[in-house]
Amino acid sequence: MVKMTEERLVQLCKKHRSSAQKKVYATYSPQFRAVCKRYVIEKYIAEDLLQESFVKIFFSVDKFEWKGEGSFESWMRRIVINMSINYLKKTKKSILIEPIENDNIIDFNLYDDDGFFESSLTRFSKDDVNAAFGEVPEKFRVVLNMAILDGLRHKEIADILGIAEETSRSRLTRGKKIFKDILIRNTEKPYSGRAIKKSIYN
Amino acid sequence: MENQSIKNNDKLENLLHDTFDSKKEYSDIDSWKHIKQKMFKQYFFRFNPARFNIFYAAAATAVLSAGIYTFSPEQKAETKVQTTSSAEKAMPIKTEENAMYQASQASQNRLSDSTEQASIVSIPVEKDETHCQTANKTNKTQTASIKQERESKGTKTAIAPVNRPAAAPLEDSVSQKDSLISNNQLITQDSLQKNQDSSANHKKVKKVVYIQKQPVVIQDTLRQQKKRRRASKRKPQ
Repeated sequence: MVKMTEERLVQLCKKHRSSAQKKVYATYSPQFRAVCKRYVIEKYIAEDLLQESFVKIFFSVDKFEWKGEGSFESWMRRIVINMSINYLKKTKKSILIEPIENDNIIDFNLYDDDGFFESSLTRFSKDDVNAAFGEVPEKFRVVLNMAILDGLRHKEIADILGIAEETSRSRLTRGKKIFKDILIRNTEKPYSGRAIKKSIYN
Repeated sequence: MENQSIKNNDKLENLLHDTFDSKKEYSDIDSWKHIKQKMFKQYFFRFNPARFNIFYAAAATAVLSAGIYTFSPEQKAETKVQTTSSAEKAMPIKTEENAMYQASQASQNRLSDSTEQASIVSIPVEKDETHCQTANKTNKTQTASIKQERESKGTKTAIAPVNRPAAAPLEDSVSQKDSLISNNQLITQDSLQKNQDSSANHKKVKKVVYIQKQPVVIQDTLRQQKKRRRASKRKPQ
């Protein structure tokens, strides 16, 4: 029903109709809230970012051109992502731009046994994945978000974050390994007999 | 081994996609109210002819203030005084001078029993120089008109206009004070102090007071003083 009326909603939003704006907010806010929380872990900051994003969406909806079903959603998603990244750039610029040599990871390659990871995939719940993703250090999590979940290229990520393209690539690789490490560590049972090595992040 | 790690990477990505793509989070807070408030602020500070915004608010306040200024009772009184005393142009005097001038005039009024009163009008301080110039120009015409009035009443008086400097500095006003006291003996210390107090109040308000410049009738007052002295000498006998 929502997709049926997306074009109509856009038209009404362009006329600054409050009812249409409320409808858009009610429809898309839950998924965009999740997007914000992927980038910014803090709940209240994510909520504030979401509000700011919707304000920006309603004010710049005049510039939006309808290109078919789903175009409005992807346009809004882009705004939400940009708002989140801008927030991170403002507040945690030093962490994001930090060169790769300064990454304080002594040993991130704990589980070279990919077979173990593969066998464990089925037992990871969504909550486990969510929790582990939240524990990934910010500079790696941002790249993971942008590259894997939001589908940005390394060149775009490098431009947005103000880092080298190579740094973006290496952060993605490392980020994946760190995430895998945390995921296994969190879900591994203490009596499994596997020794858990400690890794130091940040 | 490499193929396996690539597969694992793909699986990792799939795991992330499965977890986060369809993820929806609901908030306990009613964020829509906050969004509406933020949007109202944004709308208010942008110009939109169809909406009430800061530009309309500014225009409305400007019109209101102009209306209040034009229709205020003070403004009305000022216009009335200016219209009635258009023949006799008023002279702006700084507050300290004004106090002395008022004192001298009050004493003259007591002596000559004249019913003419000073008209007090508030004007901004900056304008006093120009008004002083105009007042000096009209000084001679005033004396002439009052002469004519008095001659028509049948009283023989010698009118001596007080030539007061235009926009006199405060130091000069002290010497002027002395001269005024010498002209009018009945000015007491108490009255001067009272007038000084009133001038201090005037300073706080930062207003300049218009006083009709009137000629001082010296000979009349001297004659009356002599008469009173004679009368006082006769009484004890």
